[in-house]
Amino acid sequence: MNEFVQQVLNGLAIGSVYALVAVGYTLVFGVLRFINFAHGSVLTFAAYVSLFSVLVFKVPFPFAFGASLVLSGLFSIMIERQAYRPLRARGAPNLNLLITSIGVSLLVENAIIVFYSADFFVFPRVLPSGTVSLLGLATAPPIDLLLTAVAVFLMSALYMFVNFSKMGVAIQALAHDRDAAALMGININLTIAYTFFIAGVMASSAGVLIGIKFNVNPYLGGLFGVKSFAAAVVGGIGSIPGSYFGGYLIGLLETMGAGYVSSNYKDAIAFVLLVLILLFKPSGLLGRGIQEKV
Amino acid sequence: MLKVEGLNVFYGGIHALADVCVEVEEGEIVTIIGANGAGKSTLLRTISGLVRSRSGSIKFRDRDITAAPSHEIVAMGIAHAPEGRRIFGNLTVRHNLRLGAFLRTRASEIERDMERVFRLFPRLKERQGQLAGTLSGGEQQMLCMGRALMAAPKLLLLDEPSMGLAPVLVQEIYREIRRIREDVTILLVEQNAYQALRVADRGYVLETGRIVMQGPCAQLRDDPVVKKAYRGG
Repeated sequence: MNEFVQQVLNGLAIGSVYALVAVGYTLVFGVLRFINFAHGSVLTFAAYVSLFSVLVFKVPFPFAFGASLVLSGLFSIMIERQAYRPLRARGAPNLNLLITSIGVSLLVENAIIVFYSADFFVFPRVLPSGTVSLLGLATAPPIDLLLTAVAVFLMSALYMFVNFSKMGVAIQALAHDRDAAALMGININLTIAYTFFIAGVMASSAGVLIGIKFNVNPYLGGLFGVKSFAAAVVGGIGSIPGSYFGGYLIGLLETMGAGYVSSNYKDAIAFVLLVLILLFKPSGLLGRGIQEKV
Repeated sequence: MLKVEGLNVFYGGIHALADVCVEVEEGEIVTIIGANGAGKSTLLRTISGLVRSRSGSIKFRDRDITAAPSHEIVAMGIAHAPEGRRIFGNLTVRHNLRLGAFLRTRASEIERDMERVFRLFPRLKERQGQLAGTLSGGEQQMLCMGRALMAAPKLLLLDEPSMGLAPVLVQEIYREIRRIREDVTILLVEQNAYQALRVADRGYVLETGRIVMQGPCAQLRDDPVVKKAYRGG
């Protein structure tokens, strides 16, 4: 029993990472109808920003965390401005955006290696060491608790924003019909920009915390990005609750699989699930499918 | 109020609009009639900034809006009820109307205009909590027009309001257009020339991207060519 509770806890922590990153794929897909494979590089960027802030500039961690969220959000906007908007302005097909996003992610990854280092960095100790006991049922390292708390907070904040703020309603309208949204007076480019900002902030919160949980390296966004992409598709791309659901589902299955079957298969589980979903329910578990308009 | 001059629009290699000149005076209803694919919707979409022109100019109340983005054009007072209605089917009727007032900030004025739209289209009031996607075609058209009116426009662009509607509904929609014109100038695009020429003051006939005829509607109604081509003899 206790071992099961322990596995669930571990699964929730890693699921929080996938959920936070997956929702960014869904948000961007909603407004631009393409999978932004550069999304993972925002996560890597965030981990390095917070690492530098703490290590080099000796900024206290809470401030370093906050700063890297904002800077990564801006970095995400910059990617859209520099790489995608010029293509959009020329009416390029969405496939070109997707290929460009792969290019951007390679660029970011390699720029870090070339201009800095390919080494793996252990994050300086910013959280108390040891583990926290939860009602005697299980224990968790403080980072796992922080991860889950941050995820729950940001996901609730996003829910409120999307459903109850004017800017959030603009995102919904844009996701439904871009031209109609423009005719309502919604500033399309501005809405796309802050959608990227929000996606970037969500992913970078995960980036900083997995940097602490594991280590900081140029490939951080690669594996976590792709697995989160799987989570977004499993949950139903375009559905915000779906991306959370997909994230936690993959997180839990992965830890259960590693705990009860074999940890060798850990990384394969997300992709097996992805293939199964694409075969049997391509619109995802909570997705409604995209109706193509004539 | 609106002055379109020498407008040229291309879709890929297709010359969708060729040297189009259209003028709308304050208080008028002007209609543009023409067959399917003549470029009527393209003209409205270009005025709204959804499509870019290659040359020519569009002036609204003496301001050049040719290169302005859509949201600025809406802010200047041009609302567009697009072809195919394009309502937000996953949102409620009320939400759709609120989105129409996206750029407005005074809650009391928005509420007042919402009541006005409900008086114009009582059926929308009955269905205000319903998802817009579940409305009938006629109701969706009413919502589309009501949503455009929520922007409190000075000029309303109406694209094929009668499309796909039963004759009795077409008459109803046109009754409402007559009421709307009391406050708002209208540029109306229609395939249904019979209705359009009855409600409008002046008309233009668009054929494969060119204006081939223009004049007061009374005159166009009796023109043998118009009669033959657009009114079924």
